[in-house]
Amino acid sequence: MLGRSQVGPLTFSNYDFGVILIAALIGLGLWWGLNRTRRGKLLLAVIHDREMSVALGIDVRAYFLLTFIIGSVLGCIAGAVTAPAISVAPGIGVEVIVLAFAVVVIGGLGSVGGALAGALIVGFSRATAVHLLPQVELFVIFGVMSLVLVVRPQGLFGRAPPRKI
Amino acid sequence: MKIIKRTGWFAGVILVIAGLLCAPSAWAAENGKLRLGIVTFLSGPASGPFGVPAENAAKLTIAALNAGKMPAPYAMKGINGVEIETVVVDEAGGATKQVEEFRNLVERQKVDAVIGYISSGDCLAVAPVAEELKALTVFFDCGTPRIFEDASYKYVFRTGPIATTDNIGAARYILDTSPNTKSFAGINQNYAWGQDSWNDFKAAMQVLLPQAQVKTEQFPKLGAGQYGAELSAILVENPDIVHSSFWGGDMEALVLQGAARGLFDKRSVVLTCGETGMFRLAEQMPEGAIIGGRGPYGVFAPDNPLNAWFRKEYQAAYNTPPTYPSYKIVQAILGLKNAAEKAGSAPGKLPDTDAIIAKFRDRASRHRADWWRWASARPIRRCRASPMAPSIARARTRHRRSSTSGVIRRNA
Amino acid sequence: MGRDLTLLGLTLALVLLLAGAVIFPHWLTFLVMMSLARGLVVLGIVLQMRAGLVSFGQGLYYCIGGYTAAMLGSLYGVREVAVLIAAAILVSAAVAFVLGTLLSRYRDIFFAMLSMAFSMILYGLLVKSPALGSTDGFNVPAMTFFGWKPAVQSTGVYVITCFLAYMIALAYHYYQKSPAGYLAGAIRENEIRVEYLGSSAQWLLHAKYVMASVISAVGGLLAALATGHVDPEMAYWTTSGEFVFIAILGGTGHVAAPFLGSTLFSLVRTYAYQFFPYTWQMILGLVLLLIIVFLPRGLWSLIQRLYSEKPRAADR
Repeated sequence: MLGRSQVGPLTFSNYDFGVILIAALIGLGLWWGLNRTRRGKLLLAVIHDREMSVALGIDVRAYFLLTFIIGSVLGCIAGAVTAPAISVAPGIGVEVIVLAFAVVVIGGLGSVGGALAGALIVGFSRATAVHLLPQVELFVIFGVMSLVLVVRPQGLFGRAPPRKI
Repeated sequence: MKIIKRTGWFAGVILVIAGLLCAPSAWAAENGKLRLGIVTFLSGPASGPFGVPAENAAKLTIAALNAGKMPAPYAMKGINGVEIETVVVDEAGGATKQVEEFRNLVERQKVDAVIGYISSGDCLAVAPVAEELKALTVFFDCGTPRIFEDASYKYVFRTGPIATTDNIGAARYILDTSPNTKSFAGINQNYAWGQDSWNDFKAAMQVLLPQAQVKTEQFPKLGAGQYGAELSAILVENPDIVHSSFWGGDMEALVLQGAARGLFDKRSVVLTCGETGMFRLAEQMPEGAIIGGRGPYGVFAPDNPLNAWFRKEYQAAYNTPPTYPSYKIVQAILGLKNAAEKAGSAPGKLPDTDAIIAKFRDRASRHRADWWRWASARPIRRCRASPMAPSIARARTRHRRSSTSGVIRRNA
Repeated sequence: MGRDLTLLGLTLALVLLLAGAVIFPHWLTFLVMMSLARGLVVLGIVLQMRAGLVSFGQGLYYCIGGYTAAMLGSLYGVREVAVLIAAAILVSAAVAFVLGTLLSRYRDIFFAMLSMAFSMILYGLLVKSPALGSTDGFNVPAMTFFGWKPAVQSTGVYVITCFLAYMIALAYHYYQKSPAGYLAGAIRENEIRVEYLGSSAQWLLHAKYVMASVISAVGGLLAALATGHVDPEMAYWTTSGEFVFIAILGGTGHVAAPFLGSTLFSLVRTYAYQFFPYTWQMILGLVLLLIIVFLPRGLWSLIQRLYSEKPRAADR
């Protein structure tokens, strides 16, 4: 698939670079859609305060449906670009759920930049563990996540919820 | 009064449910057949490479036995002339679940014997329960050396070799084929099977090739599917040999990703379970990979009428050649059949469990099933461009001459 | 109807179950025993759920209970269940107290993920311990039960399971009837108001976390005794996920709900296994999906409806 390239002593598959590119483009698009378009801003309003959004006349149900569809499509794309490099099996998604939640919790809810940071932290901490201390590879992600949450309970880019009395 | 009426109604529902629950035990009435429980992975990651091939082979063999069509010396109908009926159970769900299902199998479904279990954890958990229930149980695959070595059982048998031999065999093969090996590394799944495999291989290498250094030992999670970081770690270290006891989807992913990253370009990769994937991955399997079949099974099985019959029938029925799990379960079935038939009952009658066990144990020390004859076993070998090519049969091999073999074993 | 029939109902259930030791077929006593043990773990989750916290790491204590029993039994030669119970309670309470100081600060998904993280760390440690059999785990030897040595080991485990489940269920029920129990609903709805009323939400949650952990550890210990085997899978997050699922299936309205849920889950699963060996997951999923869709407040709401008792808001 697309050949290989040499980086220092290591060989990488060009396909992997392609996957990184696709992820970057989609992430950028998502960020733009959420923060720079009217619909995206309405969506953010729904996320932040459902009751207030209903009061302002936003169709919350439609936005939930939209969010769910976008989320599903993103999941599908991720599966599709990963599939060529792995062996596809029915249980393939189970492990990804936990990783995805860890990324979200580290980055903070509702932040595209946070998701990027969370994903990089998860990926790099795993890779570091694999190179330096393979014994802890199994739970290094959870260790890092716990540390981040101890320091920042709302995740790196999450905002504390407003106090509601 | 309303409450009492409703409580009565509620109690009625519970009674009906209780009645339904007790019903299945009545179905398992004596019908003159031998009821055999077959437990193997029908779902989950282990079903594709192990569970389903084993189940297919069991179905085929039992149908042939019931029809009396097996080649000699297994031509007698069923087991000692008694027809076999099977109860198939999925092995998925973990050891706790399997203990529960084993009890159901024996106490609710009233099977006469159980053949099964691929996962070592399941075998470890099920063995004491089999003993408690006095249920004749034959493990056909699980490779941990902790079942009969840590305890002793009367009702439990295992008809396959343990994993230690695979890895010592692999080290010996490397000693024979590349004695100049300077370094080696391992990538194994992070669970008991992977850890034991790597430790055995490493220990064997350190004795056989003391000059070879361990470069890195990677233990990605079972079922991880993505090995980018591990591959980088191995490629940076640049070892001569890479050892892996991966199986199923993980092995497939490792082969695909490893090929893309040049893992196989300058070094030999030992896949101790590689045989399960050799037909499925015929196109992708790298040139020169060393694959193992966990004993004299599959393409390593000797050429004789029984094997020829089995390969032909299996290929015809399932459109792929049989791999080692298929062979191993057939060995368990034939082992049980052999013991039962030697137990001295008149044909058409089933000997009692104790008599079968006595003979089974006796077989353990003397019996050699024909096609597993050890002298011709070729459990590890190097893979040429296509594993199907006839030239493969002439590939240089070194078999493990040490003790264990395809002999029916107990208290190893 | 206003009277509380719980004490009567539970005692009746205990008598029935104890009689079951003689009249039930063996496999059914085993199923009941496992359902009660799992029901205890679920009860721990429900205890926290009532306060609005969903623990995706209850397997941590399930595992701690099981491993405490198994390690004391096979490594240190303890053969008395009373000692194991005391040890499991002490160990789980100590661990829960320490982790609780951190966890009681978190809510929602953060609580769920952190609790899961701790159970996954235990899983990782156990997988890396060849002395404890790594993923294969190890077996639990036969025990005596407060000095009694039954002819069949599982009879002893069955009786002790019934008694422990009964006692814990009663204690739980009266706890929920106490002010601290009712405050759970208040915390879930609005913590700040609870604080204004003069109670410390964080301390209450911490206490509840410890209680839930001890209950779950006892469940894990009983499960380990019943199956005679422990493995790290007990701490894996899918195990915890299953418990959460059973909690939703049973409902959080009453102490009996988790036991009902786990019994139904075991029954559906074992029969799906028997009759549909190839598609049991689908059948199991379908049945459970239907139950959730038609009884969104869990199985217990069915019984509430039967007794025309309206599900109250606090029982959600």
